[in-house]
Amino acid sequence: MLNALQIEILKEIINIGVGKSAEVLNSMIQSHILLDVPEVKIVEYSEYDKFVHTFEDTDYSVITLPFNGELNGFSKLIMSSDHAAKLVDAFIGKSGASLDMDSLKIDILSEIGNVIINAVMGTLGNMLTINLDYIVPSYEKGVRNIIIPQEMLNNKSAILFAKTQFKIEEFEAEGNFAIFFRLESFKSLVEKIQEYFDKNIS
Amino acid sequence: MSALQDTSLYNTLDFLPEGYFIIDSNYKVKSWNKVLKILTNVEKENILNSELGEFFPNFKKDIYKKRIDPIFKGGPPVIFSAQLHKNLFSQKENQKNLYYQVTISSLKVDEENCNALFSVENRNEVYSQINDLKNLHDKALNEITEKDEVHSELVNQHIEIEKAFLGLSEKNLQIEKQKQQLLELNATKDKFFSIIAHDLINPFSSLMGFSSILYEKFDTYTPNILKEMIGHMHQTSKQTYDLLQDLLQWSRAQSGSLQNKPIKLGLDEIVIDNIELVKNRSLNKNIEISKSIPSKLYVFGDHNMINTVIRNLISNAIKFTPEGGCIDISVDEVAENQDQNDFIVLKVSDNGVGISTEKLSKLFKIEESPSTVGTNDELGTGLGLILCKEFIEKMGGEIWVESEEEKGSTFFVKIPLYKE
Repeated sequence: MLNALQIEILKEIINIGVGKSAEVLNSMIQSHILLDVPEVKIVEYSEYDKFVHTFEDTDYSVITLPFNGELNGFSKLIMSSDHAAKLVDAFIGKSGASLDMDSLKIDILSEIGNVIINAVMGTLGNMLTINLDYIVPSYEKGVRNIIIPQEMLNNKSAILFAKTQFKIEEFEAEGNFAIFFRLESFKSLVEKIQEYFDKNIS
Repeated sequence: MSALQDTSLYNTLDFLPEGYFIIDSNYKVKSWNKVLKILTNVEKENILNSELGEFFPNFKKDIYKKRIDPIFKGGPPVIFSAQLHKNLFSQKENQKNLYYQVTISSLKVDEENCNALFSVENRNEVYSQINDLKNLHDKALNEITEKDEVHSELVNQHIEIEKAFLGLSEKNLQIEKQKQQLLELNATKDKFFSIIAHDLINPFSSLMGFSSILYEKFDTYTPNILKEMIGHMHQTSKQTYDLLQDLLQWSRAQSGSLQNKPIKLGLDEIVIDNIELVKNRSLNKNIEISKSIPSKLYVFGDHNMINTVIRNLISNAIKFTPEGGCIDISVDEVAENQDQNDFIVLKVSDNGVGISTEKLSKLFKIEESPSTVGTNDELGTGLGLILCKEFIEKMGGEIWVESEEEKGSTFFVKIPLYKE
């Protein structure tokens, strides 16, 4: 299991990744993006329900990027549908978003999610020198139950959940970026973080 | 070398329904499927092994290269949404928008390097519909806004007109009120001059005539004639005095100097006093006056005003009741008004000549008040009932009359009841 120092390193890497994504998004919409300090925790299968209930009971728009290779899991951009609409507003103006056209929103949200997820996963891969294979991201919409990937529910495995909250000030849009690592990846992750520590920090 | 670099396998992309192409890390096009010819109008033969940016200049821009380059190192897939990058595949400036949703994935070439596989999904039809809908939506919104503006303007105009109308109505009411006041003032003035001119001059002429004759021819008249002439002068003086009394009270009432000073008053006592005052006149006409008023019934009013009202009503009843008639004074009922203050209704009834419908409506109006001669040619001033109405209303009461010609009249007076 990750110790306090390793958790801090993971938080740092995620923070750097989201920061990079913020740079790209800023250049796309010329708006300031605020980032919270990331939160990392282990969620046991028995705690899934409690964990899901930490999210507000509303509709969510979620972009998921599954990854395999040296680590396995899912990275997700989780936004309430209201905030997703605000984010779309930020890019195309209110007249388009007010039409509530899913196809339009899905296209744009997929790209925004892609920018954030890629920046974080790219940073994670580069800094920890991990080779990852990616599958094309997907979009889904639903209640908060969709936050935990179905595969993890089926396997009843514990998950390492790392998330950070971001806020686009001008549009009052906010969301979470989360990485769900499969338990079997924990060992590799711990090793990679330790290697990073030995090489760069100690 | 990856199997996918095999040209024959690249050709399989031709059978896929969306546009697909592959570039290497130098942005050189390695594969270009048939659908792309339709989407971009660029022939496979022309673009193969050429740099992508030569055909589509946007791919030379840093903003795109920064996001695409990690793909060649095995980075995660990159998405360019159709709406945000509608000019990505533009070949020249001012080209119409091309809505292609682009997803770029890594294709491993060897352990170190990857190519980039572009999937190009045509969204032109969808976005054309979306744009049509957006235009319709915007148009509808504009129309709604315009209609709202017109509606607001109409509502504002309506409010302005209503305000103007209300102001006009208020002004009309004021004018009507002022007109009524002027009419009343005019009537008051007319009545005053009529009394001065006629009712006062006549008795004075009579007095001056009799006194002049007496002065000049006193010695020529017998004591009996002299007595008769002095009797006439006394009668005329008395009537003139009564008239002056009424006139004085009426003028005080008009100027507002007559104040209502309500006190506890025994109604029976006031009625008895007034019957006593007119006893001679009733006896002369053989009129029987009966009364039924509880001895302990107290009203709350001004003594002078109530006294004047009762005296006038009994006096009128005698005046308009022929010889042998009868007058009844009673308390009819106790009513309650809205404020829960109790009132009594005093009734003065006679079986005299009654009042015509025409005169009834003019009875309490100063501008039209008629002066009628009594059954024994008694003269009046026409001011009595007007004074009664004025006084009763000052005390918060009411006065009204019911009458039938040849059968008699009943005057009703509502007076506040005294309560401990």
